[in-house]
Amino acid sequence: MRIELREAGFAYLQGTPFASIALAGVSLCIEPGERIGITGPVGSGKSTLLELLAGLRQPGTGSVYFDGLPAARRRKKTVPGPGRIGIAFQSPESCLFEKTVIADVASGPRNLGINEAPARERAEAALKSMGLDPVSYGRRSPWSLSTGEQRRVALAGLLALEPEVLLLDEPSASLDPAARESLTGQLLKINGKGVTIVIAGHDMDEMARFARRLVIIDEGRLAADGPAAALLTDTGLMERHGLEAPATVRLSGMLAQATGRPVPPFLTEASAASFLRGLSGPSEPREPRHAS
Amino acid sequence: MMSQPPIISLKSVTFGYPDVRSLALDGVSLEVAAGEFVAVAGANGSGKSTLARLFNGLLLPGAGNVLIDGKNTRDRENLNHIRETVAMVFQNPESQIVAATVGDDIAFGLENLGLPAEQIGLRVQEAGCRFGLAGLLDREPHWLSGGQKQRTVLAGAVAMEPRVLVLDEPASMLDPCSRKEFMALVRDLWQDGTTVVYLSHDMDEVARAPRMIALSEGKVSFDGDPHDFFSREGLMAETNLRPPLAVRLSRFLASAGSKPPALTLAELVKRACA
Amino acid sequence: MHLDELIIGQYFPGNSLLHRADPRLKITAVFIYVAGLFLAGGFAGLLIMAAGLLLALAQARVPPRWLYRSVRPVAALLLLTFLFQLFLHGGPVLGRIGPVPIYRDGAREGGYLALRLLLLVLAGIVLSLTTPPVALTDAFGKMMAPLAKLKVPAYELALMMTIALRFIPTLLMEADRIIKAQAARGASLASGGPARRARALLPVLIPLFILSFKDADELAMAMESRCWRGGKGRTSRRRLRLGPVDAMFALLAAVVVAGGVAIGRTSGF
Repeated sequence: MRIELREAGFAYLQGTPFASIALAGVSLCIEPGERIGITGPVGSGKSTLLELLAGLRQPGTGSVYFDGLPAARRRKKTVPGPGRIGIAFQSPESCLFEKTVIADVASGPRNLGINEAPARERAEAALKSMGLDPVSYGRRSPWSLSTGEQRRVALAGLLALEPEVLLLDEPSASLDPAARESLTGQLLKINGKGVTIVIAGHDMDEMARFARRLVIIDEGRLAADGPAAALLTDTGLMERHGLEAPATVRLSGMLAQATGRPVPPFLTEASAASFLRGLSGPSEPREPRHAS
Repeated sequence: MMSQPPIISLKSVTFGYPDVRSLALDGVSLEVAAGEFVAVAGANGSGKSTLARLFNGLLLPGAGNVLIDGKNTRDRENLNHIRETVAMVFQNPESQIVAATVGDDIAFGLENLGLPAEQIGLRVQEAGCRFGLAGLLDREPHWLSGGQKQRTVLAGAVAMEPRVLVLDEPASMLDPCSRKEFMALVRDLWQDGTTVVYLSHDMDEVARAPRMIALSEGKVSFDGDPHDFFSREGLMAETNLRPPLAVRLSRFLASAGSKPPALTLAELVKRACA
Repeated sequence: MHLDELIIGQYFPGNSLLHRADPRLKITAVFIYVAGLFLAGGFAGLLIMAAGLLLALAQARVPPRWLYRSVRPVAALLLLTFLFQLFLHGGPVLGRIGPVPIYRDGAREGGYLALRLLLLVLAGIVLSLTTPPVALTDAFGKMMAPLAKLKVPAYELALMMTIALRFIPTLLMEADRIIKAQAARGASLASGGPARRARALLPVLIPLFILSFKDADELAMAMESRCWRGGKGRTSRRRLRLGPVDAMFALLAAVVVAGGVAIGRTSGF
């Protein structure tokens, strides 16, 4: 599905003394199969933007188009029904409610009117693509799992709907580094199967690993929109919008300053490693032995 | 200084939750001297949070003893003194704010101590200024950002003038900027003499601490200089902790193998250009 | 469905006489005002008391739209009161609406009772429009404090109110998030018969209960860590002292109520 915002704006509590503008004049087009990161300082309007893209809120000004069709204000039918666009808010595991993992994941397809058996099949496939074995996890209670596992179950619940677009608000927040990395890996695989994935978040290291395109929102306005590799290595741009460039990019800046010669910005750990290896001469690096 | 008794002392502490077969903590012994900064690292489920709750008597050990400032947490009479000595900050700022405005929340602990209103007012002002909340004292918590909420929690803890701050994943729900800001405030408090015990899986922060304790499966698997920890790859695998970027890249340096790995990017750059 | 509107509550920020008056005094004034409404016993009295209230609202600079937002929920009740009385009483016929006759006594009685109810509700609304909820709970706590001697857990009750106040917006936001998340998974909350609807609420209620228990557990720990041990020996940061503003407020309130009651009782209208 193609989602397009044209000059979209949104204000909370309009007409009250507490009114606050969350978004103003944002134009953005999300093409099928993209892998997009949305970032910006706290309170910049990222979460509101996700809700507009999901059709959960209507823009106060401007408009949203789903597959080229405008979503009419106050008419529910013009917003794509549940299932086509999946959205997960922060800590989605707090929405788990069924007695078993498999029942929870299957509840989405069941809601859409799919029969027990095919819904179960979809749930099992969804659990597998989140890296959870349906046989050993399916019958367990969601509350017997670790936070990282719970989060994957919650995301599997979205996947079981077989959505075309996944909108995720800080999917890896408060997970430990190992759980964080494996989640990014699974999302990359799912995107590889053609699902559009949009992640809102603050972790630029994660954005460097995940996003192909990056959108920066600052004070409700679109501040930048372009290839992630170009934006993430532009330290000036990052700083202007109160963001911290990925650690590898910061490292290249520090090396350039220390050596007094230009150092290409590293977007991946591997490129940083090969640069350092070059500095230290031809000697072989020590065998990596720590757990991966 | 050395002759002083440790401010925190755990002696073969064991703790298990009902209905859970394995122990959350299994024979943990450790001491923290006044004025130290100790990072306790452990993956999710390693027993970190249980350990934190033992430090001020929120949980009592199944076996062994916890002594705070020489006083046993098992003795109910000591609890007031212990909780005035050890202040806690937990992970979720949302559920730690008791009162309906920032100022009232900073005052909550002081009111419990029975301080006179003038003194409370003064300490609230002071804490408000120190933690960048001076303009927000009348604000209701639901209008605050995550960073502001967690600073409110810290201000409420520090206003009680504790000697020890125990922080259990205090910054993991914050965005990177607020996280840095929060940790800078914590380091300032340590410089001013507060003992800090920081429990986290954020290895960048842990690597910067002068002393680290690694927990895995309820046991202390390391206690010492982070440089030692990060030069032993077996330990990192055993504790399921991922080293920070600087450590991971250190093995590509010429000095790899002969020296312990660099813990921060600055250290790494210095080594690379040496 | 968005719950943002509920989160902001009733309070309209301002710096008027009414805003600045001591909340304890305002609570007392509302009670006396309500008593006055019942003592006045006539239209003339009610009108004077209504004028007093309108004056108060005008000087508090509360915009009519904001006021309407607060009164709207009771509008149906007011109308019902009026209609019920309208057909209950007889007297000379004033006119007809279609075939239905309107009697004078019915109109009079209905108008009187509806106006009294409106003023009663308005008095409470004016209090919440001009007093932040925190100040209200604090004032309640202080007014109840003497009851502690009678073994009423006054501090604990006040704290309960504060915590409720503190967590209502949090829970509303969490509920809003859960409702949206479940709706995005195709859960429909508002269709089918009552049994079906009740079942359909489970995906929202179960997570909400679990979250609130978790919040409550963490809050209890945070409170204990900060030396909470009941109300005994506790002090308060907020001090309330009566000042000239309060004297002025008390005087004006007294004039309105006394005037309303005196005139209502003496005039035959």
